[in-house]
Amino acid sequence: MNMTDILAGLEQSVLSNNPEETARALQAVKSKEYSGDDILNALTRGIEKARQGFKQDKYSIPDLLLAIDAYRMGVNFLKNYPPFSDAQKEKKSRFQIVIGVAEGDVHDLGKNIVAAVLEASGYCVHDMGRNIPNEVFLEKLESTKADVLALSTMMSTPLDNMAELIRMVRKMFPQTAIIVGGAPFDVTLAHQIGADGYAENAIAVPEETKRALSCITAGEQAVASKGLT
Amino acid sequence: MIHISPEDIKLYDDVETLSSLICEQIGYSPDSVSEQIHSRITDIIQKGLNAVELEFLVRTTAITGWEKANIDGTCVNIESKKWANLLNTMESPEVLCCFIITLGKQIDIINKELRKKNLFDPFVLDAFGSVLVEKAADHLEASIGIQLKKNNYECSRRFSPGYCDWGLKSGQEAICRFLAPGKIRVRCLTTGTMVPAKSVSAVMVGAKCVPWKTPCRFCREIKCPYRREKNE
Repeated sequence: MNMTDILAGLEQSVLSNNPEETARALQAVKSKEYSGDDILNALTRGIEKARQGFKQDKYSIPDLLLAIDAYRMGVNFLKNYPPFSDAQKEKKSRFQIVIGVAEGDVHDLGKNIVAAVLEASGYCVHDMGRNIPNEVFLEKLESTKADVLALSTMMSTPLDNMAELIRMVRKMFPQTAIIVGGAPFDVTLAHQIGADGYAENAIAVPEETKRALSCITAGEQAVASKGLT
Repeated sequence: MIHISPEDIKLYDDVETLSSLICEQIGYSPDSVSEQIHSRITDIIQKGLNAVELEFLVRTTAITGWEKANIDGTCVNIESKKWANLLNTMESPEVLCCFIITLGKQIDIINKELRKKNLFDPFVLDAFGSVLVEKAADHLEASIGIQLKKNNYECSRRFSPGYCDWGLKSGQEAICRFLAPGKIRVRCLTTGTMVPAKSVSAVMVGAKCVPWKTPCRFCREIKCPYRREKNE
């Protein structure tokens, strides 16, 4: 197998629904001493195809999750891949996103998927978990200097509290973009509550995040300079 | 009036049927699932079944009256226009039967652990919990129906806070105040969320004659995803 085939195999393994295939593909690239960037690009092409497949209804949610799991396996592999991990340390940090489920709600399945999609799209994601009090979000925003706060709820009852959090974030961290998602939301409610963006589903999240960031930061140029997909 | 022992509620534990139901729930066609994925789903089901600690509470109370948007019982009140309206179609609605059933906290604990490893397994376990707790609630509902029948009552279907026009927060608070579910290690957050997550709370109405078991037949929300009966 030539070098291009091996990378194509890695890319394809992301779509295979088979973690063992991804593990085998990673072993194959290791033996050939590819650059970390080549490996990351192959993985990214794979996850991008999965995202597109989901968008076009060719893949189901579990297919997408298996692809994200494969992508994550590859990214974890890269963390211990010396030439790549050393180079990454020197790279400028990526956009930081704090994500979590509002206080009073324990439904975190959607949030977990969104967090993984954002991670796979090149963002640095700080996943706070579920049922998170407002002050914990604020502390994390302070410590990470996050560019984006992504809030989720599946219920309507935490919305008042969420609106209060958004008001506080606006006041304390005016440079932080806020996106929301979950069952009770639509575009109108998202804007009413004070968010910069609303993502209807996990697939829409990367684009919506980019859009919300471009409203807050210096625009699309800044987004592009941080190498987001 | 109602005595249901834990042995009366059998856990739905047919792995193959559960696997089909879970596939359907998560968006897989059971026929198209590879052997490897099928085996992975089966393993998660087995893990889930081993973790289930099924517990429930059932308590009845007398209906003391109902108005346009309210059903009043001794120690419990239901704020729902649609269900209050349904009582107008019944003959002598006399009993409210409230229950909470839970799969226990182990499912939540295992799911938290799985989430650290990947996304697929907790997704399947979550679907497993949803399917199983609804099956268990179906079983409990049927058992309550049998008990009510022994007492010469027909009964409505179960209805839960957060559905129809019954508010989640006020509904869960009403049921939890009445049942005190701490006994089965269930608690209700201020927003109405129950912990453990795989828990179901509901109420049934007992009456001498129940021609319509839900308000669906005279409800105008024809596209409601939770519709249980068609309009006449």
